[in-house]
Amino acid sequence: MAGSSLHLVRGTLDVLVLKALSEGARHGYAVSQWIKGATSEVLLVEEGSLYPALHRLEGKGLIDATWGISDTGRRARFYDLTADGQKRLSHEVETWRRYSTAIDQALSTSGQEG
Amino acid sequence: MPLRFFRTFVNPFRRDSLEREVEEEFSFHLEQKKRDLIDAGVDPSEARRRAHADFGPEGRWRRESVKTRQTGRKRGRRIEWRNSWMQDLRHAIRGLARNPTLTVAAVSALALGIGANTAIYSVAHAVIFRPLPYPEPDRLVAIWLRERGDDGETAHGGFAYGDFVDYRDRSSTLVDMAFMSFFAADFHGERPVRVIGYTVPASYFDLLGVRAALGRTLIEEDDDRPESDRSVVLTHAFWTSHLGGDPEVVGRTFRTTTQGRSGFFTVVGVLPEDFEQAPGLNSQGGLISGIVDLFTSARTDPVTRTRRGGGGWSVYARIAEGRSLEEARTEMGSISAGLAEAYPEQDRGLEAVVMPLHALRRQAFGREMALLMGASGLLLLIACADVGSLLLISGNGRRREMSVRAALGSGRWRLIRLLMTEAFVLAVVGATAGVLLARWLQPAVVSLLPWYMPGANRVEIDVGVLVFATVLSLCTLLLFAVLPAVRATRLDVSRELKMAEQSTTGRSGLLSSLVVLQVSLATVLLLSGVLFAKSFMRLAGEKGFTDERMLIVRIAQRTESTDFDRLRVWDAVLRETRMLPGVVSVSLASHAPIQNSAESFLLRVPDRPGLEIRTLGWGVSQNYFDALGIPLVRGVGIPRWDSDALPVARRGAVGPSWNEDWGAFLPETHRVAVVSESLARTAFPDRAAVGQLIRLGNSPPLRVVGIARDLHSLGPDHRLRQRLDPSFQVYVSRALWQWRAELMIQTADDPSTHLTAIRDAVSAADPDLAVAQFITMEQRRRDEFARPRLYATVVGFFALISVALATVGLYGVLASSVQGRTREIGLRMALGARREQLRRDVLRRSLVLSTLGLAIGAVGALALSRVLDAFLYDLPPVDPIAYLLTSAGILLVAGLACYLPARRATQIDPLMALRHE
Repeated sequence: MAGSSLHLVRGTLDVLVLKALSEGARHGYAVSQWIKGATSEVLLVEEGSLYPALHRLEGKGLIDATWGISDTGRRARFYDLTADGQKRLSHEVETWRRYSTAIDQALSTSGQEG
Repeated sequence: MPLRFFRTFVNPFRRDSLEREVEEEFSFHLEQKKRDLIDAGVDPSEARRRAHADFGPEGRWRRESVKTRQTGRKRGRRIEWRNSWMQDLRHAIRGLARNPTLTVAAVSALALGIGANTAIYSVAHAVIFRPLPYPEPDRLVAIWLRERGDDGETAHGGFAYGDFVDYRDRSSTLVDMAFMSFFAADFHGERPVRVIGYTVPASYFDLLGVRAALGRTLIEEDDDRPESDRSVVLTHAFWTSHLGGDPEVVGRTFRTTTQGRSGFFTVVGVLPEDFEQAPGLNSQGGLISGIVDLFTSARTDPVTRTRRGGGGWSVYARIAEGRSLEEARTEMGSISAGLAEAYPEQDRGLEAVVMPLHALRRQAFGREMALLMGASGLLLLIACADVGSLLLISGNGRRREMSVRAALGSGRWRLIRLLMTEAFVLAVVGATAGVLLARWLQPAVVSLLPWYMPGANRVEIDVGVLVFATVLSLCTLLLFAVLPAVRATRLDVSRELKMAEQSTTGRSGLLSSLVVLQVSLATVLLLSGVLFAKSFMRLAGEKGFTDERMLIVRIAQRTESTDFDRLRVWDAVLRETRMLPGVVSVSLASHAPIQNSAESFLLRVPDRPGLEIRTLGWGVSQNYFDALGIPLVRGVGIPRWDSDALPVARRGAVGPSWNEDWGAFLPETHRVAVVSESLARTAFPDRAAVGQLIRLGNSPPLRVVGIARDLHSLGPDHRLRQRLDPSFQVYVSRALWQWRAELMIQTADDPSTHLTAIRDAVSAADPDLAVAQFITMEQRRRDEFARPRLYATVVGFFALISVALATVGLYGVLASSVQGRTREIGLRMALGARREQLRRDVLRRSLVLSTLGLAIGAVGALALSRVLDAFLYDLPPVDPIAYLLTSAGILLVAGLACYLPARRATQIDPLMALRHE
């Protein structure tokens, strides 16, 4: 892996999962692959930790789950965003943008004065 | 469907199935990963290792996953459950709001049923069911002596002191035995008042476990104090009303007069506000009232000590620890037998009766309460039937709605649940309204209770009854709300959609029986109400004297004075009060015309030996007949008395009571009597009564000078009614009857504004006179007629409500039947049926249903007539006029109920009706 791998900030996994599902229903493995690809493998996720997160989101009603058949013809559990999940995602994205902008800004100004 | 529902309900979150699912998810993930790696050229065993490594600690993820899914699922279920209930609730409320007539009718019926029962049972609870407010109340007993006369008749009586000591000392099963002996005394506080007190031993308070709120209760030393210098414990009410709640009252000494003997009362304590005197039988077999001012203790004098063979004392005791009521009864029986042997003169035939205190209370007031509870129970039944029929109608009306819902895929269970939610909402709203109603109804019922009923001030909403009545209503609601739904959803949906309308009439059997049930129960209540009202109005309507703005002032005379002194005091009282402004008339009588403590005498006619008539008697002032508006139908009244006109030689006459010499000192002009018409007819059937001689008890011969119209004087529950004809009445001069007097003061305005002035006038006549009681004639009549008034008012009120409910029920059935037969009616109209005929059809149906109900109800009332008889005065329970009135009332209901539906039937437009689905 290039550079140093970053451990996931707590809670951000949820946003990533929601983002992964915003493009359509996926099963757990597909979600993990999407995260890996989308973050250029910078973020280190133990794949198994995805499942408690998925189930938590399901319990909160942000995502729905149904058993379906995968491309390979096996039974898999597919997850999909609910309306609540959709709302949550856009809210989280917004928050995350403001947060990262603020941190960015803070880090650059402190460099000038220091 | 119900099975699945059941399963998910019982075990909805089965752990093993979740674990299997998570396991399957994981293995799919690992398998997929391995396959991708192999596709990318990784060797299979390495791919397998990498897949597991990237996945992380499998066991941990599994545990976490299963746990999250479990809680998530539970919450999800809960949310879903809640959401669907909320949805049902919204639906239900919207549905009820859409049908305001039904909702208002059902809620009112429920509120009336629940409210009436809550109010009545709460009162009954306070009066007869509430545990007595003493520690271990079930162990408390009352004891009295039953006397078996030679003729086999039994009489109940109290104890004499000797009896009390015998039983107390010989018993081991009963402890803390205490007696209660009534006395009246003049208590000289700020101004003299007549007080009601009980002499009790110190053990009385131990027995009841009562502690003083201020100072102490009586202790054993008090039992030894001389009669002229006693310790007293005041009731809270007396302390606040007569001594201004003086916090320094303990230790204060007051001058008193008891039966002519002066003495002193030293206050040792004040009882707590919630103290309740032990209920007991008085010497007449009535219950001792809750009105008492103070308790005192005293050394018993030697004469009283030896008295045995029964007396006037109520005796109480506590069953000893570990002993039973049966043992106490057995022991008391053997003590009675032993005493009868030891003192055959006095104690033969006397038997001690032991009764639990709570049973005594129930025996005394159970009858009244049972009647009220029965009437309110009937009302609740009618209300339930009413609501049931309303819901059936609305359910039938909604079969189409139900069928549509079912056709759109609503499960049957879901439909039933929706209706159940509606029922639930109705019950909750009805119960809430019922509680409000009960809060309003309760004080009204309490104010109707006879004054001597204990516990009237302790009435609280009885939650148990409220819950019972609500649950019963809810069951009714559920039954009748769900029934149509079950039927609607069971039937073939498409057929139902087409047939909904026609089938309404086919199922009206249940509906009709519900309505007939309502009418018949209402008939029973209405008939009872009419009977009670008639009985009460007959009793209370006829007076024979005026009671408007009439105040009764009872004055306690000093008993140590001579006859002549007393007469002069009365003269002075009359003089002083007559001069008061605003006073219209003042007359004086031994007691007011309606009076609990009426007295009776044996009347004899010297000319007719062997003739004895028990009659009521009064000693009255000259203006008595005028002042009370009692007409003299023949002869003259009682002559005016003037003490100063009595020859000095005769003034010394002293008679402590009505003895042989009674009246002998009076001039002959005052040895006269006025008799009532009935008495005159009975005593002198063959000649004019005026001019004849009679004797009352031991009196000298009295000449009859006049005949007065009969007046209705005895209260309906008066014990004397069993011994005499209350229309037998005789009046003598107040000069013959000076030991007791009541003033009848009629005022120009509200009599209660004159109390202070009257009190002052009485004090001006003699500063030592105690006003024992102020009461208006009206209030006294209220007291005397309390029971019949209670029955007539409560049952009458319930009867009116039940009739209203039955009208609504009948109306509902008729309206829904017209609605359901719209097509048929339209067709008939199209074929030329006249409006008149259609109207008559509706009326006929109304009459058939109500007449059937009326007939069943009348039969029921006939069956109940023995029960009703026990509560009626001078009126047979099978009273033709009452039956007639009731029938008229029910037929009126039938007419009212069919008016609107009949009009609607005639207004149906044939064209519209035929197009009507």
